[in-house]
Amino acid sequence: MKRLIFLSLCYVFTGLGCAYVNHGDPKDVTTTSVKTFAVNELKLISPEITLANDPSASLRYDYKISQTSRVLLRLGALKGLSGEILDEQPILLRIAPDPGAPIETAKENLRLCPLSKNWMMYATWTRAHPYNEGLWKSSGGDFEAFECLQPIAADSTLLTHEEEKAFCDPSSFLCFDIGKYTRSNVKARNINYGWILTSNKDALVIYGDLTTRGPEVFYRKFR
Amino acid sequence: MLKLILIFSLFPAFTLASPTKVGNGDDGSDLEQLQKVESGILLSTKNQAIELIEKLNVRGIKGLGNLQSELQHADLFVVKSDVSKPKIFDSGLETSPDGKTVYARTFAQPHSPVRFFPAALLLSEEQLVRLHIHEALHRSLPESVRENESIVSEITLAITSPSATRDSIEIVAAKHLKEDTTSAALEKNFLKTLKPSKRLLAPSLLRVSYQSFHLRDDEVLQSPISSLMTLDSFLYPFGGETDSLGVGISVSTLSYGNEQRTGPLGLSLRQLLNTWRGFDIEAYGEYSMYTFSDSDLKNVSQARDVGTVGLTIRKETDRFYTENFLSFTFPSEKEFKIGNVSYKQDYAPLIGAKISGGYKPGDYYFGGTLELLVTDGANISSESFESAKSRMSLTTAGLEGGLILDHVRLSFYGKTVLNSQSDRNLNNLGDLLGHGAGQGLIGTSLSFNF
Repeated sequence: MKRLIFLSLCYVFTGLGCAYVNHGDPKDVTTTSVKTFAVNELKLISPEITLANDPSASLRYDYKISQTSRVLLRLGALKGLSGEILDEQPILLRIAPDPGAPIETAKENLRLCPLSKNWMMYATWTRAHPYNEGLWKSSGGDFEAFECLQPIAADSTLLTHEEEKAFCDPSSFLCFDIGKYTRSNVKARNINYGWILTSNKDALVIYGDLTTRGPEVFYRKFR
Repeated sequence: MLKLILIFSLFPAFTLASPTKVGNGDDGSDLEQLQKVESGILLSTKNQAIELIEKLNVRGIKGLGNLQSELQHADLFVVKSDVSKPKIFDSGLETSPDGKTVYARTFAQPHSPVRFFPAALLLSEEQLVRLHIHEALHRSLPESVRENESIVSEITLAITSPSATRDSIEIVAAKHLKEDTTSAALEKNFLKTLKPSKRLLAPSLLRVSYQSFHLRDDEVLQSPISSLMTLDSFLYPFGGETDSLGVGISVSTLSYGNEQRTGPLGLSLRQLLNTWRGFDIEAYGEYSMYTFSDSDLKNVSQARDVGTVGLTIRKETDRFYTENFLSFTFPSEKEFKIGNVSYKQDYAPLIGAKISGGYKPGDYYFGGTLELLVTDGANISSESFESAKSRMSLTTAGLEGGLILDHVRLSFYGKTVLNSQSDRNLNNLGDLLGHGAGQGLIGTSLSFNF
């Protein structure tokens, strides 16, 4: 009798263990669900905004991006969420340009660059933060131009599923693939310095965090 | 000891004058008619006695340290009549029961007045000087011997002898003033040294002060707190002269950019511990609250609630003053929000040591300060950002000066950070009310002490 109970318990626990680790195929979208998060840290930096906690530099309806006006952005919770991010699925960040300008112009100019120095909401054009070693090496934010991302094309293979297509509706949004950065930095090295939005040439305006079209992050996780 | 008779001869023969019962038993001592001495030979001979004591440096002799003070501060009265003693009606002189003339009386307690009888006015200046010193000895000698007429007389003669020197007086004093080492006597002697200073006697103050901070350009951008106006009210309603306990309130407003905002509110408890060996010692605990509302100072990084305990030790002489400050600021946390992001700032303890000192020519004073502040700084963190603590020391030097008119004090002061570095300033300390902001400050204050 005891042997029977023991074997039964082994069977139950083995089954539970397998069930726990076997979520399904991560490439199979039917076993995954979509998560989106609004980017919570948005800070406008410009040589004209000198005050560290200038209220006009955050919580805005729109942000102007030009060669002398940039936006620092980060999803603060991404570090904590990185455990559920699937390696085989895209991670997207979308920006909504102001409809007043042609989206193609925004697509040509807008760049999303990973920052190489941590910052906080006191950041300015010259400083990442007001504390020890808080100066940017280069005014306007520390990043490597070759790491900057261009918006993905509307026919990108990353947008094969309906949810991704809807999220990156090319008529309204510009999407960036931040999967590589997230996996190699946030997930593997626990670094989440965030991004900076720059414009190569012309000035453009994007919707801000006081609207429903502010920057958002999209990824898939197991159901 | 209520009655004294001084016989002015080279042979000291003193006799106590005990109260005489008259009529129904009332000794009539409360029927004396007194007149305060404000001029005349009694006053001039008192000054001569003080000069003699100073000249012989009697103050430095063990057991005679309070003699000069007693001479200087005792009130003098002339007794028009003494109904408690029998009179020789022929001469009008006061006499003791054994028939000797009474010249003056005092109580054998510190600070008691001296009553002179008409017979004293018949004495020579030299005799009156002796009389002053004799009476003062009754009040200033150790309690165990102050009523002993023969000892008092012998010391009086030692001091007033034409050949008196400091050494000769010291020999006589040492012969009689043996140290009383009983614990009760030691305690009594110890307490006697606790004479309240002027500051302890009038510790309460009302003060208004204004400080303008020196900010570098980058500091203006990070935190543009440019000036602070403070009203302090420190009242000491509890305790005695030497151990008064006070409650302090400090209300302030500050200039933040172009705006005026409600500044820190400081509450404090202050205990004047005492004056030991001429040093005024005060302990205090302060709590400064910065977080009134978001629109005031809550979201300024360095504005935190601050709890501090400290000790000040001050000594003043006629010409100089020196003061040491020791303080310990407790660690504290604050939270603030910028945009959608909440930050937590965790301040490490702060230890401060400050030395000040200066010169006081007349009603003015001027001096300098040197202060060392050591802290591990502050850790600031959010879910995506963390700035670690790092050991930091700040040294500040300053100048101070002002005018002291009785109960009113007008002060000017300034200080600057000596070891200034790019990220090292008073803002890092997070204590506007206690240490200011930026690279230093200049300030002025007007206070009324009572």
